[in-house]
Amino acid sequence: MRTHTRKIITLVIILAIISIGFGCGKSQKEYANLAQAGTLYAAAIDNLLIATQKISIDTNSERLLQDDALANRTLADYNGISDEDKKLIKTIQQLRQHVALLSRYFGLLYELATSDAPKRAQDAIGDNSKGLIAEINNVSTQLQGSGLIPANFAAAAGPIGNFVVAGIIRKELRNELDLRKDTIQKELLLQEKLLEVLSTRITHDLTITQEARELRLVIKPLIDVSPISNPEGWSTARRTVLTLQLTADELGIASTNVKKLREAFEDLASGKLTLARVNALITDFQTLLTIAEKLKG
Amino acid sequence: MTRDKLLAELRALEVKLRSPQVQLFFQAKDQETRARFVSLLNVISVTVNRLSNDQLVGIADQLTALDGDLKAGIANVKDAIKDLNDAIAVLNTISSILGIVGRVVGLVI
Repeated sequence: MRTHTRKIITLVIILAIISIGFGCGKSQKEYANLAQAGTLYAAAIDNLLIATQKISIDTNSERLLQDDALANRTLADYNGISDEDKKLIKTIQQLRQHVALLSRYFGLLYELATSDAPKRAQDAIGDNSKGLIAEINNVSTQLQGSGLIPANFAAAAGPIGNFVVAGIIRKELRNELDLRKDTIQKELLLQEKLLEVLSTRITHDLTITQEARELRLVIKPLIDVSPISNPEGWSTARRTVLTLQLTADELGIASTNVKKLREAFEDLASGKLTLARVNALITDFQTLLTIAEKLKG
Repeated sequence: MTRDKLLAELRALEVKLRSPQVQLFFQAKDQETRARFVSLLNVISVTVNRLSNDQLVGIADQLTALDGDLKAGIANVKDAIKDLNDAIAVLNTISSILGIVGRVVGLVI
């Protein structure tokens, strides 16, 4: 009996070593939270792309209105601006298709990292009273009068199954991220550039819109010889126009966070990533998402 | 001068020319002066739009070039999830079959 118990303990230790080897030290939680940060980033950038398109088209409308107030515009003038709007719509569509892929990728990584497969494996293997172990013992008892799997092993088998499957998941995640590390690095470097370009563009467009609307909706009615007919409306318009750029300023600050995501993936590969940093990233991207949603309006 | 630098300078110029002060200044000028000013402003605005779009197109093309790798990653992770689910389904199936075998053996013996 003592030899038998020693064999079981040895088996448990071997399985534990194999499982730790699979995971290479990183917990599923770190992978899951990093994938969640990636998914949040993809949602934020998608909203920002929609916001860019809307703000850009609205700004061009303000440009056309402002120019028309000084000198009559021609169809060619209109087309010159509108053709650029159409090009932008096409490019934004292309970018959003790519971001959808990125979101799907991070979403699946999250699904794998948060899979309940370890628990289901434990339940499927079971113990003396349920699952595979119980059925094996039931058949064995009927055929040879005793259970095939000893009680102490049966009690440990389910949790070992859980442990091993969790290790397999970590191995799959690590292998996938190793395989894709160059792509992820290129992707996130380009995302840094994209976010910078979108942020600068939105800031400029909102500046132009603010100037044009301030003149059209606030200054012109004010300097006109007749008094403002709707003071409440004028006051609201003035407040809206003057605060137009606040969200763009917030975006400028938040847009630097994508660099942190790239660094987090690099540190994940070298084992330097901590859960606290990943959690901070999630908070950062939730902020970015909120700003992007505000800009999208 | 790089295109990015040119874009930054044109944007700064456009902000100045579209400011209420400059617009009100030209509003007080004759029609010909206003038309010349607006034509110049239109060229600047179209060029700002064009350069801004070129920036985005360049990034979009580079990102789209990564689509194939991302699709491969998606397929790989999907397979891993499917393999795990299949392995657990196999365990459950064996368990069910053994349950049936147990009942049959019980009847025969």
